[in-house]
Amino acid sequence: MSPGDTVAVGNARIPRFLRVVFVICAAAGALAFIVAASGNDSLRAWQSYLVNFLFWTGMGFGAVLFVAVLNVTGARWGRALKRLAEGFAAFLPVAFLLFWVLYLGREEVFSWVRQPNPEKAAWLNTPFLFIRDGAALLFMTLLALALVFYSVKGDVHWSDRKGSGAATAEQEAGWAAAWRKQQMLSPALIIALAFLLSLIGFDLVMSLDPRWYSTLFGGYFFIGCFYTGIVALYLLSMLVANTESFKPYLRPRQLHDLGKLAMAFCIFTGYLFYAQFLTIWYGNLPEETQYVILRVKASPWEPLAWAVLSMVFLGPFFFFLSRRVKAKRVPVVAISVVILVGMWLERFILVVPSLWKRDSIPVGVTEVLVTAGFFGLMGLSITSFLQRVPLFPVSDPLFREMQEKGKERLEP
Amino acid sequence: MHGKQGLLAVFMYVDDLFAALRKLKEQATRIETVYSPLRLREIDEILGKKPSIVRFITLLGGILGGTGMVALAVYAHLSFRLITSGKPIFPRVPWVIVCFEGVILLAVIFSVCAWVLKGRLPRARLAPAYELRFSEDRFGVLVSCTDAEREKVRALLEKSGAEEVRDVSW
Repeated sequence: MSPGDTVAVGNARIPRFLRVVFVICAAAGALAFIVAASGNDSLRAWQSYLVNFLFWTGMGFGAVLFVAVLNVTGARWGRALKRLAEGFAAFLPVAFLLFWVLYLGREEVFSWVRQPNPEKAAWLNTPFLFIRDGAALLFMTLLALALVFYSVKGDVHWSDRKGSGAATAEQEAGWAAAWRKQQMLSPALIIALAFLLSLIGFDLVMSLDPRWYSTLFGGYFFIGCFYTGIVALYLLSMLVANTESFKPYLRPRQLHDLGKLAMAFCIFTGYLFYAQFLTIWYGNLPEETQYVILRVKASPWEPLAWAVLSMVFLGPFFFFLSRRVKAKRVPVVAISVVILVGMWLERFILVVPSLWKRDSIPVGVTEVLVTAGFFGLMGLSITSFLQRVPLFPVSDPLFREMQEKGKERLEP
Repeated sequence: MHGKQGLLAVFMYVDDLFAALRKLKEQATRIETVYSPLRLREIDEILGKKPSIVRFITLLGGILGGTGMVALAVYAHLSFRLITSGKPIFPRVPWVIVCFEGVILLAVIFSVCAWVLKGRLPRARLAPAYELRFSEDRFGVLVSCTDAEREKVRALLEKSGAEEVRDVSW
């Protein structure tokens, strides 16, 4: 990597039509949500809003968590993926604002707002829930943005001075300082996300059915977010891997490694689900089992539960067993889409049966458009970010090390 | 009494090894074996080796272990009907655990047996031209060649970055 390497320090060139598609999706989603929320069937609007908020926000934090984990472990293999993963962080301030929209629908979404539960009122009351979850989201977002800021800072500087010869000692010191900040922020972000995403899971999902409780649920929700983030990053990497900018850096071996990580979290997510399910099955306590029975045994949710298990765990598990397929574009794009749809349905089946008491599964135009709206916002956030920053973390010492190691001869 | 003769090349670097193997394959030189201290799939790909049958033996062990443990659980439940807190006689949910353990147990045992049988272990004699450093920090390529080919192959190996090339017979 040299300072004059213009490909490495360039920004992404996003096709105009793609941004137009994202804008249309976001506008259609917003319109559909407003129309549905102000109509007779407003519950459908609010529950699909909550499902999408949880899914897309979890994806954003999960992808940034990947960056933090790369930094903490000192991993070189995934450095070329760092900027793509950081792109998801651009959605987090949007997610923070979207969270406050839920305040308007609190009576529709949270049964304990309509019928306060005296035993749990100290925890489940509107001001306390929105203050603590808002503070948690703000804290996580600020930490994530700080990490991305220090990551991008040195690269922008590097990019600005391209072709101007060797770096001065002062510039090198600045990059080293930015790297030290990232090393400090990364473990803090990992710990914060582990605790606070668990809190979000308890508050925004478990409290929808205030009689049910599971101590493992927070951890399960957190790992689900990480799994979603990794798979979304895998999908994005595959989509850009053949572009002029990424081709020299995203090699089959790195995509294969990302596939192995996705498989590991596929197994871990399945394991956490089973650990929770087995405990509830053995305990056989009515206040615990009713939540599970409603979703896996009762109509209309049972087929959806099996679909989620197949799309999130069984299908990907057997798919990822193959070594060769992990670096092939078409199969990976297909399985990534299947997993992401499966994770969306998983959030759906965690949230909606607690709210929807009719005999049909509420998936229709409203749900599709609200999902498209969040998709558009995520797409706009990522592309806006990637258009403005260097595509690779060129000032990151581990990225430079990766590039130099690649040129050296390998030893056993 | 030696049956074959050829050259043993010792390499320090992986990419030198790959380059040498590719050139040897291009020239249709007989590569007897390659010694490596670590698993490198590229070696199999260059040599055109098919994947080992060991993975299928492992899979067979896993399937037998899983089904065997479930069969054992069914037998145990039929023999001792301990109905606990309204649970069914055949509780499938906890069977996942015994099934998983059975899969792991027999898959490992079958794998080890397959390694021993496929590797024809134990061996009284070391593999031809094997050296201890091939299990530490060096790669070895053993090629068989005639006297007429010898100097040409030696030059190729040395040009590819071999740090040592010597005559061997086995």
